Amino acid sequence: MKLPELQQHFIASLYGESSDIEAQVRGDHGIGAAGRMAIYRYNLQAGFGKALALEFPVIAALCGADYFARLAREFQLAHPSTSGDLHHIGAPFPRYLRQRFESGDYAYFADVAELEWAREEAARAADGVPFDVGTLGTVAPEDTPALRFAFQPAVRLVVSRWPILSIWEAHQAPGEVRPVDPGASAGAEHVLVRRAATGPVLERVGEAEFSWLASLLRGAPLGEAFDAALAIDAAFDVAMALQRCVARGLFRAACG
Amino acid sequence: MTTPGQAPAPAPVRAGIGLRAPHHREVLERAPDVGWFEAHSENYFADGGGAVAALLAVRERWPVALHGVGLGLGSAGPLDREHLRKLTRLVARVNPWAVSEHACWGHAGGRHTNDLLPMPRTAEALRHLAGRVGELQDALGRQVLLENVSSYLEFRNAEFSEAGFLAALVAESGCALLLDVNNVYVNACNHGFDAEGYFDELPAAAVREIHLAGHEVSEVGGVGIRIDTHDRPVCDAVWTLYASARRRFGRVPTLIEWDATLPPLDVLVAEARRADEVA
Amino acid sequence: MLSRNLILTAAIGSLLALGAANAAEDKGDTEKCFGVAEAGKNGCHTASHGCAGMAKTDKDPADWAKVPKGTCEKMGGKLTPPAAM
Repeated sequence: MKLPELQQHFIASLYGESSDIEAQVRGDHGIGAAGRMAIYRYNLQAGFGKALALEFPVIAALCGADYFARLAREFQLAHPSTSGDLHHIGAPFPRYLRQRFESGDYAYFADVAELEWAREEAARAADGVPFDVGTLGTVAPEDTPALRFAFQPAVRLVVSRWPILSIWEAHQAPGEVRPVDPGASAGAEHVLVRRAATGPVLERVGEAEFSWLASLLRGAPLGEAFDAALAIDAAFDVAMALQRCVARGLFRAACG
Repeated sequence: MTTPGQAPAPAPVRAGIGLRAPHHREVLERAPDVGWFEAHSENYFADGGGAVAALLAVRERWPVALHGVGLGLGSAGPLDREHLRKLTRLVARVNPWAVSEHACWGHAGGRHTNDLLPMPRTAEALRHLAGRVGELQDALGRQVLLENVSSYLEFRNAEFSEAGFLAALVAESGCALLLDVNNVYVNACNHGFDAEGYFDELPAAAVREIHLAGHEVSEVGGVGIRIDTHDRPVCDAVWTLYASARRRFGRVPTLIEWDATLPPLDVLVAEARRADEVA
Repeated sequence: MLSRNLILTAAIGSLLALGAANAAEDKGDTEKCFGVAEAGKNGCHTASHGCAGMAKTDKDPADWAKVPKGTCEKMGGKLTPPAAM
């Protein structure tokens, strides 16, 4: 059997689609071909499941080890790894969970997964470059509303109908998981994901500020972002919002 | 930054340990007394962030080797250009003393196993693997080391012994070898060959690095099989085989690999010291 | 519109005034960190085949946990969204 055919049969066996490869495998020393293939099949599941749990530790905790292993296997069958680098396997996971738990008690899993993936992306994004506030000094007053900002590569925004950040935070203390108090924090949460010197940071922001950040992040000019925030909160303080952007190190550059 | 083709950093003398993320901070703060570090290339493919910064900081103080686990050079499917681009970028960032990959395959039909799968040892498979090794060496502008992998099965159509296949790979591609002594022992037990005879077949001058790791003895249907788990100390039989490898291949840089259930850093440092003491 | 432009210009002006002070604070991700958050996912070892592990391979998917049995139980049924968005 030629190399391409042998490898296709081998992979098909790992995914339980065919056992044709077994005719090519020596079954000596007391272990048959099927038993030998089972070792590789197990390793494929275990390695994928372990890497997925590292990328989505809160989803893994919410599910429990047994259910997560089942979920990871189902997900792997639908979305096999397409890269020699396991860091990529989690990209389709939030969308998969959205379909898998479309409605019902676990519908919030998809949004928690989206937050965990945003955090993962923030951790691995290109390093930021310091923003020189002084460059704003050259902008003429009449050009100010047209200002646009380029963001650091790690910045992400995630919004959910569920208290996803509260759920994430509840899983950060080692050992004990605090239940999320529905009275205090249930309901929508708007989360800014960025990277600080210590690593990724997840922060709760208000709805108006989220809208402001989302506008700027997609490249809208300052005036338009301000209007969008004002439409949600007529008292939106744009001077403070801008200062927070700079203090959090969100901007890379300003362009007129 | 270095450019492809630039002279690699000099090889270390004393034994090293695998660089693992949970130890990043402690390694940089305590500067353990080891000869060098080896990093799994794919774990530092990110554009930026803490892991890459840690590796570059380690590189300031110790020789570093990059050990690829995901390219699957023996795969018949197309070589992943994006993977190769990221590896080339990392090699330029780090200027490692060695770049290694595994003599294995890993994907077909777009599905990656992220595992080190055994090659069918045929002339056709050898030609394919040697061609891919050549492509990698051309892309990086330097010689790479290919490592023997642990395996739990052999294909019926073998035209070479395992060591003979590696010797032919060296001859055909001009690569060097990373000899994993634990993998030789695991395969000698699993497939019933003599480890010393395996050493006899290798081109001694091509062996440029040695790996040591721990493995487990598992059971399939009541029959024992050795599994390359990297989750425990190197066993006595592998230390004995390592002493023999030292006598044959000289004082090539040795690495302690430990991946699962990672112990405190000091345990790894002690294993590296033990390797240094083998005559 | 004029007042909006004045507010925005004033906001930029206050940024410039605070620029020097802010520069000393949180610099975002422009400083090096060696966090362990990103544990490496790739390795070259084989998963341990302890008896429990291998048994799991052969388990019929129907025998596996049918519903999540982790910390989500603590979250309870309290996570129904208050209103559709």
